[in-house]
Amino acid sequence: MGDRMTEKISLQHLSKTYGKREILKDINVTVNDGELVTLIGPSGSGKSTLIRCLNLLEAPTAGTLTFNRQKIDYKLNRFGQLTRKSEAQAAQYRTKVGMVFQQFNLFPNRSVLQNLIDGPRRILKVDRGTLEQQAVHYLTLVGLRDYQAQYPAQLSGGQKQRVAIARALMMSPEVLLFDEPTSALDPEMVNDVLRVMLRLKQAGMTMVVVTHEMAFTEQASDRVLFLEQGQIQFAGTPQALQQEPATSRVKQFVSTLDHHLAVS
Amino acid sequence: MNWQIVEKNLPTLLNGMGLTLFISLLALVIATVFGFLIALMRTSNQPLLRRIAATYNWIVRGLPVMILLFLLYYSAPFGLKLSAFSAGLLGLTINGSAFIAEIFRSGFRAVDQGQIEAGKALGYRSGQIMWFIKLPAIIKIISPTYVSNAIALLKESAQVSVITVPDLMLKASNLYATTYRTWETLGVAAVLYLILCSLFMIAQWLLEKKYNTMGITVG
Repeated sequence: MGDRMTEKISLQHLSKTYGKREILKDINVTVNDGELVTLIGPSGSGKSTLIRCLNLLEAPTAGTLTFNRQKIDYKLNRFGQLTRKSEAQAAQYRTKVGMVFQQFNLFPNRSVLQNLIDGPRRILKVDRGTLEQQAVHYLTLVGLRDYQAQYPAQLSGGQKQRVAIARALMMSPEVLLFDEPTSALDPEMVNDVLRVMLRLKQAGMTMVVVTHEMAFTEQASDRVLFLEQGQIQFAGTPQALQQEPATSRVKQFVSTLDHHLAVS
Repeated sequence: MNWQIVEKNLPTLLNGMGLTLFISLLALVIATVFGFLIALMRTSNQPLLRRIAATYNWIVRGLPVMILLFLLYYSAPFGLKLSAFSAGLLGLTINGSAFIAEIFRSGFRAVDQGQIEAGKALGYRSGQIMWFIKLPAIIKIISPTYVSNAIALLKESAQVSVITVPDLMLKASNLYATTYRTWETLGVAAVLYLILCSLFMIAQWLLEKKYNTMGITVG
């Protein structure tokens, strides 16, 4: 890693507990400008919780969140949620950190175009004309230029997810978070989505991706974090991951993702 | 069936029908606003607000509308003297608000959390999430129940006749008392009630049609 990297987003000494259950234990993550970091790990390892802490959709029980080296303050109420004031500050912060969800979460009562322009129009107060041009640009980028008037129910899963990516881009975010973006997709649609993500990476977008797609992880990520039982068990480049011994936990986990059934 | 009697009394019945529609719609609008606020209280994370709203719903939903109307008309609290219309409107509103609050609450619970999270992730503030995301989603979810309830409110409004609000029911029963012609008076009133209720059903149909064109099934 070079020494001139600019830090984009970082979580230090993050912990998250639900009642007595410890989901994340003293996690330290720093993502640099233009970097693509993938989070892998077994189900229940806390990777979704971790990525959701990065935009405060999940309120960390403890830990310091910084964005562009500025501390993002937050306070919890006695229910462990963000206080009203913190929630308002978080809303401000989230405009700069986009998120793409496993279940797409498009607004079903809004057309593709409306899904794209509602956010920046209402929150950033950008005028409609500019936004419509921008929407065409991003829809072209994700290969859905002619789908502006469609409603989400008329789209396939892969198309929905690409609309969701375009919607996140419309806010001109500095970081994009992907929480298992291809896990709900039919296999033949996975590549359409991954290709778009790769293109964003090449354009210099800072990204954090929770995924089970090892080919994507190895090809696209600058760094891989392996999470297990709420702790980071491995952090390093895809090459370093390759060189881990076959007996290491991370290697064992990765081998379970290969769906070659051993026939004895 | 004596059509002459019908013809002679129809203006009186239509007059009462106007009042029935007026008091019902007014009660519905006010009850919707209050019901929404009560539902917000019931889903708030402040235990005190939740408890107040739950108690209100408990008492009001268990109280027959007619008793409520008598209490309001004959001995309103704080020494208030309410006119028949005010007492009737208040009674229908109080009763309606508790039921509508429950309808809103069921809607809040059914809103897809994913949509709310998508809104949050875009930077929507809580008020914007309520207005732009939850409410449109709720309208879709609650419209069949809400309209059914609105129809029930309109029908129950007949009970305001017992505290002498000159609505369709009172006009019809007065006419019956003077003519002893059941179908020509109460029968015609029944048809007029059916027409009023049909208006609400048409509104529901239009609403569902609007959502269906978006490829969403209402229900």
